[in-house]
Amino acid sequence: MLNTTSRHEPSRLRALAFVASLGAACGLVGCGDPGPERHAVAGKVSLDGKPLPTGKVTFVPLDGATAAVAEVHDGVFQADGSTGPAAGRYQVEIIAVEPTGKKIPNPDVPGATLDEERDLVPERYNVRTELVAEVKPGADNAFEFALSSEAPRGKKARRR
Amino acid sequence: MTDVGDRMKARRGFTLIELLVVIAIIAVLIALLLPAVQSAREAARRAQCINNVKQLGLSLHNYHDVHGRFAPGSIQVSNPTAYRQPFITSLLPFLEQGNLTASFNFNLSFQHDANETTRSSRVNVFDCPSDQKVVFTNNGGSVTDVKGSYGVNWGQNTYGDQVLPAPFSLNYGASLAEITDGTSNTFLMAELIQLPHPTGQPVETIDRRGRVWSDQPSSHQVTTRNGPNTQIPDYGACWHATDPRKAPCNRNTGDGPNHFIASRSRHPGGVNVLLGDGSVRFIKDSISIPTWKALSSRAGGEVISSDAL
Repeated sequence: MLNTTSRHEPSRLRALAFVASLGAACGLVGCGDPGPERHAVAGKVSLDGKPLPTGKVTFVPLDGATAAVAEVHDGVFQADGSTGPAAGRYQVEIIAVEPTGKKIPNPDVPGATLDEERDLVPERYNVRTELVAEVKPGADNAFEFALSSEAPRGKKARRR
Repeated sequence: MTDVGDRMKARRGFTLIELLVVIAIIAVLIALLLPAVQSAREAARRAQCINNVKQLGLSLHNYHDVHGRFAPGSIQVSNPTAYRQPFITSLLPFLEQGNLTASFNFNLSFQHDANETTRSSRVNVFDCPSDQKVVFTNNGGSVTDVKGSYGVNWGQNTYGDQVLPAPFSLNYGASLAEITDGTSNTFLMAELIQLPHPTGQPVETIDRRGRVWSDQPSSHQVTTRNGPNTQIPDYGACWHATDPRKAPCNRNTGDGPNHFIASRSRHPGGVNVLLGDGSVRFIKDSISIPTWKALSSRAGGEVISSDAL
């Protein structure tokens, strides 16, 4: 009797240790939800025919998918599979903020000044965006946005 | 007989395997418990945070009892002299801060040196225990005020465009009669996170988010353009590198009317929100945007199913 138990001891011990360490690892690391699968996106942005020097393209989900932000450099933007959006329909917002060179009174500090900045891209491409995009799994998801700083003809720019 | 007795003696005590089993079970239990203890701490902090929001709700309702409306979002007057006053000052007398109110000179803008004491005094109710406590410094540290963890409901899109009217805007606080969607279907305040000064940046480079002592856009005006704790960057006088995962930002110090900031918190999975009836709801990050927007309008006529929250 004694002999049999001692023969089984090492294997049982190993199995036990395995189960315990598995449980411990799961408890410590947390068996989390990895989230939806993201996809790489890339594309071009131009303003009045010229490539947008710097800026940001934001994919705002229309149906609860995952948002994504891509930076624009010399009219080109891209996001890889780790930072890109999940499959779904998106509103696209494009901003390109740059200093105007003017100084304005600093609203946070009386008497001080602040570099004035402004968005080169009109409101209808960001705050009131009309751009939409659909990200599909398996497709190459390349987008091209040709922006114009002029309001479309026949339509007056909406005033606040 | 002796033989049996010997065997009994040999069986007494624990074998190595039994000991190992017990140790393994204890290890598994501890592994399960450790994260649980940490989240229990966070749950306690969140409970305290909910209490803060509740107190703010009571103070807003007491303000309403006295003045017939909720406190104005911010006050900016340019005529006859420029005068600016943030939202928080109106609430101070109703948060048992009578002495602090008395130290504030209501004839001078909040940024005047004479109001420095009031500006730089912390009121517990405005700090969520899960969040850090940040002092807003500027001008080389000579101008300071305390940030806070709660902002007001400023509509569905941007600072300059609420789309549908919200309970608060510039020089305006709604009365209960104007909240025709129903006070339990409209929120008054929501959580913010306090962000420190951008590291390594000159003093003029400010991050205004969480600044309750301010009347400027992108300080404490929550809009429901984007959901709670969204990955979509805020837009305004903020800084992108401070906390890019928790509080992303697209910086633009100009174009004030287009600024927007989302409600954010350090709690896992959502934000605490004060509804118009004084109740506090924990709104999940995954709330659908149309529902979130419907909650922010005071007279939009939307139907909000209670299971959508």
